[in-house]
Amino acid sequence: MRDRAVHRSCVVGLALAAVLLVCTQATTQEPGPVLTVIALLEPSLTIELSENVVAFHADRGPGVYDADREVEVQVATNCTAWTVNCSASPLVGAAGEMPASRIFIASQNTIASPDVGAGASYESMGAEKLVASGGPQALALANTLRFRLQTEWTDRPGQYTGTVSFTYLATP
Amino acid sequence: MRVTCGGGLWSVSAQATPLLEKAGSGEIEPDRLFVRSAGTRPEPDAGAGPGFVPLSLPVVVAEGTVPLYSTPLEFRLLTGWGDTPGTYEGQIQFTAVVRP
Repeated sequence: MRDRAVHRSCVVGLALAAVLLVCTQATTQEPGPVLTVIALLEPSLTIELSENVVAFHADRGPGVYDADREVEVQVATNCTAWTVNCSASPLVGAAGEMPASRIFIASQNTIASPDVGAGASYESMGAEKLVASGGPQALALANTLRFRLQTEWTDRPGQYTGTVSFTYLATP
Repeated sequence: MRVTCGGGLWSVSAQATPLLEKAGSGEIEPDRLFVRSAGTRPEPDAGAGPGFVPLSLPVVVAEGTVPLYSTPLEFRLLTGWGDTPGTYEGQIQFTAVVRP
């Protein structure tokens, strides 16, 4: 009787093992379809300014005045070669206009000499000025900009407003 | 993605190759290409949003026992400033495992 029970257990055990073996062998892994992935990375460059407004308080008559704050410009790009320039508009008010050439800028990229009337390293913004430039190794760059305004006796009292625009040129 | 299976427990996994810039100047590693499906877990966020899993290792995007199954697959790419402009190309290989 006991022998029969053992025999039956062995048969069940062997059968179970065979089923497991069949299941293990039947597991299949096969490569399926392939999805092609294309990524188009466009040239990108961002310019961020630490300030939205700078002001000159010309309260002592004609002369050269510093802006009330410095402006930090931060550039980030994936381009291999790039430059950032800025240009100023005239300052216009109810009492008249100050040409952009009397706004001056100094940064790490301006040349220390000659002094054109607003101090060493300050360049007139009568023409577009280079603010920052970089190559393949420069992915991000910060530069501090300082501004000055030269006033004259002919400038009537009042509030004058203008803008400084930043533009970039990038090579992918 | 649509899966049809004759029966049993099945799973489909996906894994990406690096994305190579055609001019040969750049490469985006597969750990910056992500996939999300009904089968991926929302946590932890690996940098591309909840549920998006990097494809640098095989990712199970679907599994089940039903004979017919479909699920949308969403993909995301994480780029950095160090990735130069250009066209990058790679592949995602899908693999099916079936256990009767």
